[in-house]
This record gives sequence, C-alpha cells and structure tokens, in this order.
Amino acid sequence: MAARAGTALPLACFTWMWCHRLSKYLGVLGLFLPTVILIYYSYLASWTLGYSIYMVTDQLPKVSDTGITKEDLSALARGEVSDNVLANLPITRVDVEAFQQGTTTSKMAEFLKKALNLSDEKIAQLPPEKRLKTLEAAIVKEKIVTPFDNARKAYIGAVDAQGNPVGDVYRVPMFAYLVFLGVFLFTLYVLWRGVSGGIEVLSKVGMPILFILAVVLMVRVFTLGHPVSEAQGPLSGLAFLWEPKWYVERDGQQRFVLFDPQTWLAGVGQLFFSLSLGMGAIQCYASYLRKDDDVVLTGLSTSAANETAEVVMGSSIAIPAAVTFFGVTATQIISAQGTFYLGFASMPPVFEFMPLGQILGMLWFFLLFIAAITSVVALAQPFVAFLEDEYGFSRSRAVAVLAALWLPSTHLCILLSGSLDVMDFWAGTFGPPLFAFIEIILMMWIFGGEKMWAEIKHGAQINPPTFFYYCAKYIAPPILAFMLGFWVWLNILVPLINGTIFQQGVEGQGTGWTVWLTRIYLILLFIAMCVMVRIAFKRKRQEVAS
Amino acid sequence: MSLQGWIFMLSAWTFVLALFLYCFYRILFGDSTQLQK
Repeated sequence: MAARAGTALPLACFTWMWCHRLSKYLGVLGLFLPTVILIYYSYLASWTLGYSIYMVTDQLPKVSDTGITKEDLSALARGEVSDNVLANLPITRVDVEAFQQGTTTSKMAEFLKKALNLSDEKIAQLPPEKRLKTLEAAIVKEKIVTPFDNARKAYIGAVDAQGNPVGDVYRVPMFAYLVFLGVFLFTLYVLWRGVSGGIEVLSKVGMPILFILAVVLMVRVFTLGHPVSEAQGPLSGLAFLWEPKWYVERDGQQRFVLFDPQTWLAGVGQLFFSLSLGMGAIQCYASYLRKDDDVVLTGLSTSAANETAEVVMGSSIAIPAAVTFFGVTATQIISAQGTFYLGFASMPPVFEFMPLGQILGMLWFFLLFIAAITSVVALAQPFVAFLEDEYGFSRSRAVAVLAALWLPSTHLCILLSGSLDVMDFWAGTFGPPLFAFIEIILMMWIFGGEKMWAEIKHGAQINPPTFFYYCAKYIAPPILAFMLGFWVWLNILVPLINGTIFQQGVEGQGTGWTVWLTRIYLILLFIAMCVMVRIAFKRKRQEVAS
Repeated sequence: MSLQGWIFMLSAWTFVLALFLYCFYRILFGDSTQLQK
C-alpha cells in the first residue's frame, strides 16, 4: 500500500486510505513505535557486539573458576552430586541424600526456592523421578549460569564490583558505553549513506554473513555428540523444542494447549517481533518498491527467509547446545527466564565446554549483532523518511535530527533501572498488535477489502488464494481484538484486581521514579510526534492551497 | 525424539525451506520485475 500511495510512511498511507482527520493521528503510531523500539533496541544490539568482543578477548567469567568440570556435569546427569559441585553451595551432601530419599531439609527448601522460585507446596508435590532432575537444574543455574548473569548485570552497570545492586541509576562501564556509541555512529553512517548506498549494502553484506555463521554454528552443534551423557545430545534439544506438548497447566488445571490464550499470545508476540510487523518499519521499506513490483512475492520471500533463519537455524543452535551440556530440565528453566538469560547467561558457559569455544562464542554474538543491527537501521528509517517526505529535509539533516532525539533518549535505558523494560512493554509488546489491528481494520473495512485485494494482486506473479482475503477480512481482526483484550486482561486487569499492580507496576518493573520518568517521557514523545505530524499536514495543506 | 516430534520438525523445516527456495527461484529466474533496474 505504501508503494501504491507513493509514500514512505504508514501515517501518509492511512490518510490515503481513510480521508479523515483522525487517520493521521492513528498513523503516528507508525512513527512512534519504531522510534521507541530503536531507542532501546540499539542498546541491546550494542550488548551483542560487546559480548562478541568479550568472548574473543576472554573477559567473561569461567566455569572452571567454580571448579566444575565436564566430568562433574556427567556425574550430575547420572544422578551423582560430586564434591566440586557442592563446594560453596548452601546445601551439603546430607541435604542432597535426604532429598533423593524424599525428605526436603530446610536448607534444601531454601536453596530450591532461591534458585528456581519453587514454593514449599511445589517442592512437596515433585514426583520421585523429577526430584533429582530439579535439583540438577537448580545446581546448574546457581553454580554455572548465575555467575554469567551477574556478569551481564555488571556489563550494563546494574551491579558494582562486589555484585551488589547499585540502585536506580546504573553505573555503566566505559566499555559498554563506547560500544553503544560505536553502534550508534555506525547506524547513522548507514542511514546517511541512504537507502541504496547504506541500507541495501548493509543487508547485502550482513545477510549472507548471518546465514553462513548460522550454518557454521549449526554444524558445530550437531557434531557435538554426547559429551556429558548418552541421554543428552543435540537431538534431545530438538526433541525438547519440537515434541508437541498437548496440555499445559494453568491454575492447577490441565488445559488443551490450543485452547490456552497464553499460548496464542506468546505466538503472536514472537511473530510480530521477528517479522517486524506492526512497527512501521516494513511499510517504510515497502514504500521503496515500484508501483508494478510484485508485493506478494516480496512479502512471501521476506517471510520465508526470516522463518528459515528462525525456525530452521535459530532452533538448531542455542537450545540444542544448552541441552547437550545442561540437560532438558535445566535448559527449560533457563529459557523460561527470558531471552537475555538464555542468550547472555547460558550460552557463554556452553561455549566454554566446546573445543574452539572462544571463537564459536564470538561468532554467535556477532551473528546476533548482525541480526540486530539490520533491525536497528530498519527501525530508524521511518523517522528519517518522515522528516524527508513531510518536512523536505535533506538526508543528512534528517539523520542529524534523528541523532539528536535518539542519543539522549537511549541514555534513559543506559542509566535508569527498568527503563528499557518499560519501553519494551509498551512499544515492543503492546504496540505492534494494536497497530496491526488498526491497520487491518483500515485496509479491509474502511479502504475496502476488494480494492485492497486488487492492489495486492497487481503485478503479482503468484496468484494468492482467495482464502487469504477471507482470513484478512473476517478472521484476523477478531483474533487480533481477542489477543489485545486478553493481553489487557492478563497484564492490567488481573494485576489490578489482585492489587499487585500497585507494587509491581503494569510493566512488572515496580513503581519507582525511573519507571514514572520513562512513562512520562513516552507520553511526551507521542504528543511531540502528534504535533509534528499536525504541523506537517498543515504545511502541506497550505502548499496545496497556494 | 518421538515420531510426533520428527513429523512436526521435518514438516516445519521442509515447508519453510521449500518456500524460501521457491521464492528466490521466482525472483532470480522467474519473470519478476524485482531485479530489473
């Protein structure tokens, strides 16, 4: 639609599809969301580059410092807890033996509570065959992975040299700050070079490198064999990912997985973020297509390339490698802690156990960096295009204005505790499905499904089946509305009813001043963008009138 | 891995890989205008 409308921006597309003064304000989301995601995501991208440098310069903690060897992990997988493993842990052999025989000592209960957040009731309900695996997972997490998570916190300055939290204002180390500045300047350079001279070149170089690195790492993971236990190998990792689990436990009851809204919510969240849907970035790129270009083939090839990287390659690296060394239960617990935990805390120790691990670790984080930097550039483009199209700015002037907004804003994420998560909550989780819902209603119901379908088929080599027309018109809007409603219920209404919202905040980051400052900043940014859009449209009207 | 797991994994891999190869075949060798300057 962007190509047909001859504009680089969702907001101009919206006004083209719906001649109403509200449409441009709905379209502001297409400017606001990518810019906010750019603000925090660029900092995350810099972590991956920083970690890549850390891996090659050997600056991360070592599993060997804790005294644990591969043999200890093998013993653990057989159900034996060695003295090395127990050293410096708050539990003793007596506690372990008692636990194996079905008795939970107070020390063991405390340990499991701290490591895995298990309640006394849950511990008591553990079946005999799961007790040992749970203990193994707790030991792996506390002894091996936690030091690496602390290193991540030290990297962003959330803890001091002794590992104590520094409070609301982070003391970001110079290295992390310089790496971010490097990523920031590099992105500006790519943007300044323009769409074909910068963004296209970055993609042409970056994407083949990403695929080659992914294949190298995949081959390495699949040839690991069974270094720790015959029961733990890369295939066990794939089994963990791909074996369908038809029932999930919710509120103590077993529920069929496809009837569980949380499953769908997780799927939708992953889909939106990985395909950059509902963020305004894809629309912006699409605007550079020519009028007769094949939108269907381009869209399909973009999705297929992304899914190949994600479903085939992505699923064959991190989880299979972690399962090979730590086992399924521990990996399940580690991955449940979130992407940061899996990527930054569990992968470095995994690489340490592999031959040439330092190099492979560097490649892994560099792969993540390439994936992130291409997204950063895509997220920056809508604001630059807006200034070029609506204000008539030159490329360099538009990039300079973006830089003036972006650099101070990212300092909120760099310096303030919880700021990054607050931005991610609103712009990365809530915003895309909301924007997608608005888009699909505008396209299929206000602009008109028939006209939309004709536009899609214009110049298309592949004739899309009519089934997708009905999907877009009748199935997608109610599903998106239900997802949004359920999201609001789960994240806002339930915490409000329970009263937890007053302690944990909507975003789960508390209600401290850093959280409030970020929220106020986001509101002000949105208002500022609305004003900018209003001025731009006013100017345009005056130009047309004169 | 169970039979169900293999079926799920191989179906998903085959589908996305086939789609990926098909799309790029159409872009490179089809009558698409995408690569024409």
